[in-house]
Amino acid sequence: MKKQARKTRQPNHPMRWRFVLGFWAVCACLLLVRAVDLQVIQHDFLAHQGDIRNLRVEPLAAHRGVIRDRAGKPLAVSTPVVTLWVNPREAMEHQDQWGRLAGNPVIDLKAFARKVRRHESREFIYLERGLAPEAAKTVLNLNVPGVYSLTEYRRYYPAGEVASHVVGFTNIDDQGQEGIELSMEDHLSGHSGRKKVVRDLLGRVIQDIEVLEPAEPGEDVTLSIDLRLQYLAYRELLGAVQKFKAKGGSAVVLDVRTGEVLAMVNQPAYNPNNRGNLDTGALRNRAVTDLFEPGSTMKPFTVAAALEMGMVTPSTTINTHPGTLRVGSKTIRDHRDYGVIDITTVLTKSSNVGTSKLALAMDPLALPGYLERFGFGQSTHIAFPGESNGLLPLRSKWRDVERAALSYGYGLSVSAVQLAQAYAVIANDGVKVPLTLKKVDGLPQGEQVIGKGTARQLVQMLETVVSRVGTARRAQVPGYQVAGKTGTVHKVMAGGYADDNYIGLFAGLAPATDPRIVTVVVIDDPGGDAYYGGLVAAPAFSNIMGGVLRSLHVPPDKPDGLLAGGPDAEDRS
Amino acid sequence: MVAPWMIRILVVLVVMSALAVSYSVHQARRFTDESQRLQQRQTRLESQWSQLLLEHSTWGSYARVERLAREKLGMKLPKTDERVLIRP
Repeated sequence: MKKQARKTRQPNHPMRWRFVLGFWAVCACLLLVRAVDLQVIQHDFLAHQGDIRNLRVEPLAAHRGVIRDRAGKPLAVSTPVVTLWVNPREAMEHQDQWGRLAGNPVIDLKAFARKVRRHESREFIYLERGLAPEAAKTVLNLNVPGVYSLTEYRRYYPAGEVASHVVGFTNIDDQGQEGIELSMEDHLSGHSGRKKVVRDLLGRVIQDIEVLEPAEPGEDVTLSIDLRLQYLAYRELLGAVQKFKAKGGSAVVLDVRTGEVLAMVNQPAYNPNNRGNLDTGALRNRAVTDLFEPGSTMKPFTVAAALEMGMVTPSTTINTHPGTLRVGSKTIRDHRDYGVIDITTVLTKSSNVGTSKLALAMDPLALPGYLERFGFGQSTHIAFPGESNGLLPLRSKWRDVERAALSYGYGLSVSAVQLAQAYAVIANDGVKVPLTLKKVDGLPQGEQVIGKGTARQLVQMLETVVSRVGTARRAQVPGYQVAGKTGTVHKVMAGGYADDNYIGLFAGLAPATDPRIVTVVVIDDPGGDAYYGGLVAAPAFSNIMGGVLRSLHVPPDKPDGLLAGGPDAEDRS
Repeated sequence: MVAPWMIRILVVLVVMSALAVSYSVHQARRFTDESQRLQQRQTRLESQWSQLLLEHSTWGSYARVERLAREKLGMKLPKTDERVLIRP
């Protein structure tokens, strides 16, 4: 073996041997040179080019938080949609392939051609935004050159009109425009991140290099709204507004102890899922933004001030004869001459003369001071965009006519939520709890603004308003003792008070023995013959309050008429 | 001078480690691919979830439930005189 090997190695043809050796040496040198060239000299350039081809920065999607009601039912949900876009330059080069779009149910071929030709020098135009993923697929599967997709999120509002004003809506770029969507924008909106990846020839991601910016999905928000009650209030308010041909209306339902807004509805409303032909007037959350003079619904607070100052007790009598009172140049009128009545009856019958006399007997600054304590003229801090603070004039000098007007609710303006908050103070033994649209755990810290005794006396006095002799029999709720007050105010129009444009109001609480719920109903400009708060607002109040108490399992405190039974009661038939 | 047997072992080790490198790179790519697919699946499931959530709340909306209860099932709210209050 060895001998043979040595034999074959013998350089029989030295030239050939050298030539082969030299050839390979040259090849090796060339390779070496090339290797040095690529690895050392051109390395940066080539690595950069490679990165351009393979490295991609990908977005990390972060979607907007869900808005839920207090029971967890969704009120606003983001769902992915596909937006189609075109690179017109690229599309123009492949006009022969446009034909594939013919008959496509999503994109019309003619419209496509028109759009692309109009923007032929551009490199990005939207073709169709916010398509359902399946619909977009029918277009993308056609592989028309230059047509691309990107994923966006669209907001859907399952509760639709019912919660439209509270929840608000976002624009096409997913930014909050109204309502909670706007006020809680920072919480809700996510922050999409970016990551660097390596893609292979087929576009598959083969390596995650690094996360440049982590995605921060939006946080969920749980509201204090109870969708059941919201729907109930919506239905009843809509019914009342239609029945009395009113221009609009609002209803607010509060939990007395926690200050939570359980329902807040307005008419007219809109469908946040389809805002095509939207009347901007329907956008307003009237319960929070619109101000009105509270009229007679303000009288309990005048009486509260008188009680607090020890001027009167509920049975103190006051002479309202002859049913009119001349203050300065103005004559204050009652419906009729009630004669000598006690303070309770002043509220029962809603006597303007009675409250005016009370107010005129007070120190001029006392009444505005008390009204301020109830939260009038101040923000309720529910942090709702466009909230009106109301107007409580704080003058240093009050004319008698202004003091008298204030006592029966003219010369100041309030929003429906403010009115509800003030009644909640009466209902909550004189403790003012901050209002909130967010669900609260536990009992919030309140502020005692009037005495507990005064608040209880007021509730008892307000019970008479819904009794047979009061102004709001229609506000009664079977099984429950209601306390509340009606109001009917002339609307302020250009040039003063309108003669036959009214706002009908009812504000009340129940159950009176242990108040849990405050409801305020505002009916704006009823078009028919009925316009008194006791006629237009009280029935809606009764329906809403009855439904709310039943839904929340509040035990009836006035079971007259209900056959009271029990384990030992046998005479139930 | 290094003993020849050591060189042989080193050569074998180098070859083994080279193979291991290419194997682990391959594995890394496979896992990345799988994690990508799982992430896509997650996105798809999330979008499906949100659509089901919407569908659920549409079918279960109070307005619809009430209409069905009234019209289809003939249900109504009992009147006051039809209710009995039982004291605990």
